[in-house]
Amino acid sequence: MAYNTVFIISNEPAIRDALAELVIAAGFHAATFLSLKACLDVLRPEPHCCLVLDNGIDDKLEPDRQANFTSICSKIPVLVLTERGDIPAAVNAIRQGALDVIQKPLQHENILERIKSVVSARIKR
Amino acid sequence: MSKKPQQTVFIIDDDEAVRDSIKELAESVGLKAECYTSAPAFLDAFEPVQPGCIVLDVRMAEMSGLVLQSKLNALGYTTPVIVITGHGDVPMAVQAMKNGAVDFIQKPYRDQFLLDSINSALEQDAATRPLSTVENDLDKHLAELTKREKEVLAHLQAGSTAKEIARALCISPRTAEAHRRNLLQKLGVSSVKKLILLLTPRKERNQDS
Repeated sequence: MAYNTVFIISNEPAIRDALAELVIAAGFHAATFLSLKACLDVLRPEPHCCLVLDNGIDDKLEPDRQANFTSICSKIPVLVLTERGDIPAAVNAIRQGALDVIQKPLQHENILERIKSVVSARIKR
Repeated sequence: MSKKPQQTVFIIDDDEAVRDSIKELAESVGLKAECYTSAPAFLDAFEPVQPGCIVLDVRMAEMSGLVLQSKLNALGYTTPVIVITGHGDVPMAVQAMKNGAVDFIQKPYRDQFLLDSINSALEQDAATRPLSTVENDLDKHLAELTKREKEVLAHLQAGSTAKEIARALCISPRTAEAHRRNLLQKLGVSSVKKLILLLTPRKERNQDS
């Protein structure tokens, strides 16, 4: 694998840092962003990559969020983080094209396993 | 589109009160509804050619709604499925949605919410119901036409002659004839008359849907 970047989008620094640290320790590159739009502007999908989107990012700051989200899902495998039990958010994420949904609080082993599985889902596609 | 009288809402729930309330809800907006008390009862009775959508409960005796959903998928049935449940969680919602559910709704729900979901499921069903094979082939051939050939086709459908088409598209009559010949060949018909005949049922279909 030449490149295997995990793109991480969250407006919570703690989540960005924790995820970045986690994926770097597992041998991935990490690229963190504050918003979908910022990520979409620079996104260059590689053969082995995925995107982790924290669903908690502020909707009001991004009126075009839905369109951005759908667009990003068509380019790269997406894994969405939701609040525990937020079924409508999970349903919406999958409907828009996300491959998987993980509930917060995050468990390290679990999230790494799911990241690897969406990355390999991309390769199979 | 969604209010076609022949579309049916198939309701599968082991709770009589829920079945009745969804049936009433569907009928209140003029939709046909059929109720089933269990997944096997539904599988026995269901004919996939019937247009409509399926509203199913997750927790049922004998066979759960999610198992029923995968069975329907395995059988190749494309009727849209709405999953409702009183005991849902995120992994269950993700599973149902990944298996192609149109929606995953938690009880208690607002009537209008379920109705909106049913309507969009019916729309999806109307849009994806497989066309007959002849029309499928036609779709494939139509996709193979070049941009110019599509323009010529539109003019032919409007009844224009090769000369008129040539004038409208600023090309020579000979070129217009060549386009016409090529597109007839691509669509596998021998004359413009047959071409119009082939395309007519599709037009009518689009109008009444």
